[in-house]
This record gives sequence, C-alpha cells and structure tokens, in this order.
Amino acid sequence: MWGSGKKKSKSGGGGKSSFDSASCTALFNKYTTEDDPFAISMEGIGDLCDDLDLDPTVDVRVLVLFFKLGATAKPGEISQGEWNRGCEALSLEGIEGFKKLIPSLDTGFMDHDEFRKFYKFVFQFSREGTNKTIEKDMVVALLQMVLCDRNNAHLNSFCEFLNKSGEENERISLDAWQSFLAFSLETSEGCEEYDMDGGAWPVLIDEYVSWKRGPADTKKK
Amino acid sequence: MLRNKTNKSGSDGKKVLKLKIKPFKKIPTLPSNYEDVTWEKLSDAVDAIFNKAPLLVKTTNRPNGQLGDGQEQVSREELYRSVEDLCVHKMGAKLYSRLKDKLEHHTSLIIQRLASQIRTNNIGDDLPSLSNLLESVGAVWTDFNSALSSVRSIFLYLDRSYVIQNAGCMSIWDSGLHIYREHFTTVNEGVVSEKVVQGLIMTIESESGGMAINRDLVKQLLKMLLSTGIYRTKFESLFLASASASFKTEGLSMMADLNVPFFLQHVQRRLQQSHDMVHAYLDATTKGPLVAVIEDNLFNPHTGMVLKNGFNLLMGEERVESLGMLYKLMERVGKLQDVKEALGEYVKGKVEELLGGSDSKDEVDKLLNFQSSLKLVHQKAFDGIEIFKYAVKDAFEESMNNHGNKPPMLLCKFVDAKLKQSKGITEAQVEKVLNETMSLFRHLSNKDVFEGLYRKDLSKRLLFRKSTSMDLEKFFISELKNDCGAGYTSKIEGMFKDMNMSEEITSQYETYAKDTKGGAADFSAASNTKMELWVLTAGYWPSDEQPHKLSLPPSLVAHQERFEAYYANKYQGRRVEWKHNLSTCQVEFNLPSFKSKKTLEISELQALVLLCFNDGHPKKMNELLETTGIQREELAAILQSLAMGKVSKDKGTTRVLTKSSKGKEILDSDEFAVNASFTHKLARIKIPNISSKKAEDEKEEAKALESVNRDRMHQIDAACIRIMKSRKTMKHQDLMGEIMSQLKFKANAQDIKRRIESLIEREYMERGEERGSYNYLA
Repeated sequence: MWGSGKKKSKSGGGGKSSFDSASCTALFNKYTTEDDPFAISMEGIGDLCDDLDLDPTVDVRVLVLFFKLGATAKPGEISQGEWNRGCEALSLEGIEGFKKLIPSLDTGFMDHDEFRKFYKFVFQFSREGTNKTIEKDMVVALLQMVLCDRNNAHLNSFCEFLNKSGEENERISLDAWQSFLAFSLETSEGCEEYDMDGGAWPVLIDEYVSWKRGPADTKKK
Repeated sequence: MLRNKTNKSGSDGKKVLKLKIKPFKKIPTLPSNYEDVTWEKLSDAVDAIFNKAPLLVKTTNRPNGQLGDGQEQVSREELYRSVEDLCVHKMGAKLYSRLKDKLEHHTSLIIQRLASQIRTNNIGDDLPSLSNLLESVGAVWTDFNSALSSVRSIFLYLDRSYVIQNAGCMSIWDSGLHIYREHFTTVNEGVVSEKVVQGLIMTIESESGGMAINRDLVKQLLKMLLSTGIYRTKFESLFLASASASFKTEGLSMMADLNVPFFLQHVQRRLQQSHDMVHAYLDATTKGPLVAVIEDNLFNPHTGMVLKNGFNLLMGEERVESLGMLYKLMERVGKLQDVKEALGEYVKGKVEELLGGSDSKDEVDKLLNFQSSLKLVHQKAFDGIEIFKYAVKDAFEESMNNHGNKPPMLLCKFVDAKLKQSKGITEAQVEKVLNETMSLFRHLSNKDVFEGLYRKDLSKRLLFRKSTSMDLEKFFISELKNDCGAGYTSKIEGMFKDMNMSEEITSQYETYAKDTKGGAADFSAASNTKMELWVLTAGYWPSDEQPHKLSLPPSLVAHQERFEAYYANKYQGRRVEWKHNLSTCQVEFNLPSFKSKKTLEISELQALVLLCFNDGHPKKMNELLETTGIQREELAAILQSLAMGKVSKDKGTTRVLTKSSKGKEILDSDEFAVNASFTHKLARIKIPNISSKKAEDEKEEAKALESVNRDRMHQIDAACIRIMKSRKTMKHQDLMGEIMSQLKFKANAQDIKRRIESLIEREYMERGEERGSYNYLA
C-alpha cells in the first residue's frame, strides 16, 4: 500500500541531502548526564561551549545557537527532539558542523523580526525552573550581552538604573523585558516624547524614565 | 329788546292770550373794541394775580364801553364770563396767544429776579448761600403755582374749548410749566437752574453727612423739577454722578482700614439712607439707580478684599450678623459665587489645619465642633442656601481625603472610645455624637479602610466585653448600613451573629458534654476548669497572625480536643483554630494565708504562666519558655504584669509572683515564685496584660490596613478581568478609565498599572499588537 509512488523520508534520512541523524544523536548523548538522558541541561551546555571554545557567560552566540536549534520547551535545556530537529534544519554534522556555524551566529545578521523573537527567547531560556521572572542582576548581564552590538541608546543607562534600584525591582518579568526592547527602539535618549500618563508602558519603564529625567533636571538647575 | 304785547279785551268773555315774539329789527353786534377792552380787563387781572394784588380793573363807565380812569373790583365770575364771551365769539385763538405772551412776560420777570438775586448776593458754591437761594426759589415756585392756578380757573373756558379743539395746543397749565421751564433753564445761560440743582445736591449730600436739612423744601423743589420735566436730565444724572464719585472715595478710604464688619455695617447704613431719601423727597424712580450706585461704587469694587481679609475671621468667630449682611450684599451684586468659593477655601483650610498637625489630640472633637459651627452659620447667616451646603461638603471631602488613612483612623478611634465610655455621658448623648460623626464619615473616600479598622476595634470590644451598650453598637451599625448598603456591614454583622451563635453553641456543648458518658461533667469536676466558647467565623473577624505553638497543660488540651471532636462531628468540613491570645481566664488563687479563695481575671497566656507554678517550685525564664512555648518578648511582658504590678496601700498588691532581681527590668537570670505574702482587699482581681500596648496597637492597625490594601488589589484585578472579558480588546487609557469608574475607592494609576502587569504575567490578558492596547486571554 505504501509502495510505489513518491518516497517520503521519515527521519530525515535519504531524499534531498544526506543527513546523518545517528551522529547527531551521538553528539547529543555526549552532553547528557546520568540524571537526565533525554535533555542536555546546564552542565552539558557548558561542556558543549568548552568544545566550541565559546564562553556562555559573555558570548551571545551561545544563546543564538540554542535559539536556532529551537530549544524553546524548557528553560536552560534542550530536548532530544529539539536537538535533532535543530541539527537537521541547520545541517549540522558533528562538532565540526557546529564550529563552522559559529560565525553566522552573530546577531547582526538578524532582521528586526527575527531579533525580536531571539530577544524573547533569551529571557525565556534564561529563567530558572518554573519561575516566570528573572533576577535583575542576571537581567543586566543578559541585556549587556544581547544588546551591546545593536546600538541601543538606553542600554547602559537602563542597566545603571536597574543596578541602583532597590528591592522593588528585584525581579523582572517577561513583559518588562520585552517592553524594554520596544521602548528603547522608539524613544530618544532624552526621553522627551515619552508619555508617562497615556502610554501603556510597564511601571518599570515609567520609573526608569523618571529616574532618567530626574538627574537631568537637577543638572539643568 | 323784547317786548311782549298783550291783547286784553275789556269785555267779559273768553279771550285768548297770544304771545308774539319778534326778532330784533337790528341784529345786535359787539362793540368794535369789545375784544380789546375785554382783553385789557383780563390782562390787568392776570397782572394783579401775578403781583398778588387785589383784582382791580379799569372801570368801564364810559358810554361807549371804553375804559375809564377809575378802578373797581371785579369778580372772578365776570372775568370768567368775559373769557367765555370771547371764546363764543370765535376770538379764542387771539386770546390764547395773548395769554401766552402774558405768561411769558411774568415768568420772565420772576426768573430774572432770581437771576439777579444770584448775582447781587454773590451766590457761590457754598452751602449756606445756596440754601438761601433754594428758599427763595421755593417761595417763588409756590407763588407761581398759585398764580397759574388762578389764571387757569379764570381762563377755564378757553382750556375747555379752544385748546381741546386744537390738537397742537397745550393746556394753560402745561403752557405755564413749559414757559417756566424755558426761562428757568435758559435765563443767564441757565445759571438759575444750575445753582438750584447744585444747591439741592449739596443739601442732600450734607444730610448723608449727618446734617439736618429742610426736607420739605427739598421735596418741593424736586417736585418742581419733576413737573417741569427737568428732573431726570438736570438733576438726577448729576446727582447720581456726584453720589457715585463720593461713594467711590468713601469705599476706598474705608477699606484702607480693613475693618470688614464695620464696612459691611456702613454699606448697610447707606442703603438704608437711600431708602429714606426716596421716602422723604427723592422721586421713586430714583431709588433703583441710587441703590445701584451705592452697590457699584461703594461695595462692588471691594468684594474681593472683603472676602480675602474678612471672611475667614468672621467665619471663625461665628459672627452671624456680619456674615448675614455680607451674604445679602453679595447677593445684590450677584457675587454669591465668590462667597461660595471663599467658603470652600475656608473650610478646606480649617480641615487641613485640624488634620495636618503632627502632634494633635481630639481632632475628631474639633472637627465635630467645626461642623456644627458651620451648620449654625449656614442656617442663620446664609439662609440655608443649597449651593453653599454643597460647597462645604465638597471642601470637606477634598481636604479630608488629602490625608491618606489618617481620617478613617481617627474616626475609628473616636467611635471606639465613645462605645466604651460609660461615665459622664448618657446613651442618648452618645447616639447624638455618633450621628454627627456619621456626617464626617460620609466625606471619606476610603471607607473600606474605616471598615477594616472598625472590625479590629469591634473584635476587642466584643471579646473583652468592653462595649457599654449593645444597643449603641447596633445603632451605629444601622447608620453605616443605611449609608453604605448591606454589603458594607456584612462582615460586621457576621461578627455579631457569631457572638450570638457562640452562646448557643456553648450551651449546646454543655448539654452534650453532661449527657455523654465520660463527658465534660467528669472533666469539669476533675480538672476544675469550665469552658465558655466563642466560635468566630474566620472571614468576618480581623485576620490574625498564626498563633505560635503553645504548650497547654493537659487539662486544657483535653477540653480542646473534646470540643474539636464534637464540633467536627456537628459541622462536617469545618476546621477549628484556637486563638489563645484572644482568650481570657478566671483562675482560682488560694494561699494558706487566705481566708477564702480569690479569683484572678487574666488572659489565657497569663494563666498558662501561672499554672506552671502549681508545683510550688520557683522557675527561671528559660523553664517557663520551654514549658509554655510563649515567645520571649511576650513572656517578658506577661511576667511584668504578674510580678511588677501595682501595689497600693489600701487595696493590696497585684503581684502574684515575685521576681528575684530588684530593678524594673525582667532579666534572663530572674527567678520567679509565687508571692506568698499576696494580699488584696477584693475577692475578684483583674490583672491586665500590660504588654506594650502601643506597639501592639500599631501592629494590629498595620495589619488591618494591609488587609484592606490586599482587598483593594483584588478588587482592581476583578474589575479589570470583568471589563476585559466583556470588551475583549481595549486601549490602555480606556481600560484605566473604566477600572477607575468601577472601583468604589480612589485608586492610584500606578497601582492599577501594576495589577495589569500582574494579570499579564498570570496570562489573563496580553499586550495587543498595537502599542497601548490589551487583549483578553480566555
């Protein structure tokens, strides 16, 4: 019944390009641990980064990699299925394939839409367990990593603001994270046109703008 | 010359009398000079009238009717008849014009005389000389009137025939006045009228200055001006102008002194004076303009100053009379709006003062006094006008709600004190005060804060039996219910219900315990403890922190467990939690030295500590901590109350325990023992738990407020979800507006924003594609 006619490739083998799913899985298993053989978690990711000679704490390309692999299910890990699908989509064969891919992981190559999706991914991926928010120190580090090459007018002052603010902004939500990107792209450095009362920006952004305007006003005086 | 012929017959017999009337052979004619002669007579008569001389005319004793040299008295009737004759013979027109000329002549003389009087007497601008002039004019006018009247009566037929038949003709009287006016106003460039008017104005003004004047003369002269038709143009306008100027300066100089009540009285007086003037001599039509002049020049320019400088003072001192004057005057000039604003500002300022002070006492008493003072003034001075009532209400609301949670806190404490007060006040008086307090309550925008705090205080009153009267409690609740609806008082009423239910439950439990085998009867006898239960529904009563795990003595534990079993059986699915910190105990205290047992009324925690000493040994802090499980701070306070209580010479001591160290402090190393030398006059002794009351109060208050705040956040969430559910998509501004309008309290925009973000996080809604919009997530 399934005989003649078109041949359908099921697991990516045969057909257009010859993709070696076996070696892909083998590579996957290299980074899993005994605790969880079905996903690569933080430890494994660390090992992978070592093999690729990338420092995950400062190099944004690590995140771009996992973004492109599609590790969206749970934060901080990638499942076997995601890995396999991702490797196939990117035609990655073995660790060499990964190494070759590295140059293309620069965020500069992303257009606006893709970057937005990546930016969201960064937050979601960096959460801890079931938490919906991230500690502000971590947020500052992530922002620096992700936005430093994107010519963002507010990056530095916003990070300064977060560092200076107290417990009320200890944890940052996804909504605030995402709004920051949109805000920083729309608003000039001096925040003159920012509409505090009418705009629907999160309270965190309101506070940032007041803070930003505040010292500026006192300087004028 | 008629002759009648009669025909008489000499004989007897019947003869008819015939009358024959024959016309004249020659038609009688008037003498040729009849008109002139008659006129001479009339002319002389007019002269005589004006000269106030007897009516003598030249005699007509010449046969041809010409006038002779002598003079004889002539009657008015004859003169009248002469006029009639002339008119009948169609000589009216000439007669009329001649008469007019005559009047002109005499009037001119009269006025000329006045003019020369002015000249010769050098009548200047001073009042005395002008007064003389006025008197002369008065006399002149009187004479003129009577002369004209006489003339008119003589020439009456002319008035009734010729004048009436000719449309453009003025009556003799009117002609006279007209002529008088002409001369009065034009002779010597009108110096007469000018001086007269000047004199009148000066005279009137001198009266307002306080001098006595000849009112009748003034009245008469003003009437003269009226009848000659020059009152309005020559007099009134000048008079009003002069009055304007003088009132203007008067107003300025008075206000320079800034004595507002005095000023108000003065204005009132001026108005009264003007009323007087009109009554006495001014024409009624001048009244309106004169009053307007006073209002516009004396009062109106200064209303701002009056309100700014005097209003608050007058209100503060409850000067009802002055305020009443102020109100009426302002009403006249249509500036009630300004008064309303000033009133609002005053109320706001006062309330700010009362509430804003950092170290104040009796704020509520002062506010209540203020409120009743306002009411009084409003009633008496402001006529109870509606718009002022609203202005006061708005001002109260605005200023009271500027102080966050302070007003509801103060009101709550006040009501609490009143419901606990037993001495020096009757129930009816308390009711009255509570009623007045409700008026203040109505201004609050954060009524939910009041409710939370009220329940905290109520729970203490109910559980520690501090209310003086249940009726008063119920009264106040019903007031709240009437004002805010049943939903507002539902939890409060729940608390009362619980108290009632608890009585039932206690008695039911006792019955049960007695009846069941091995029941509480045994317990009661064995362990010497009896239970009175209050079962409180958690949702109604103020939330308490989780009580610390206490170690109860076995007797109490047994009771607890027994009741828990009974209750769980009776009401399936309910969970019971014991609140030891709210319970009180009556403990029997017996020493060998006592004649009879004493009863101590203490809190449960105090009792727990005391029971530890039943074994007779002294105990240290640590032992007590371990045995009871009470927190250190709390325990220290309890020990203070038991060991460091009052000692009075006549009553005795409340020191049930003795402390080893001498000072006031409770030291960790202290050892405590039962005070063997305890004595007290009474058999029933209350030992209050003097744990730092203030700190505890503040803690409880904070909790109540927190609870209210939590509630508010829930309300915002609920409103937001409700709105989003029905609209599916909304713009930010619209959503904010809708939420605010649905909430019963004034919500902070930032708070609402935070709740929206929280809802986004919990995925009840999301940000829309378009910036500034939200979508509902089902």
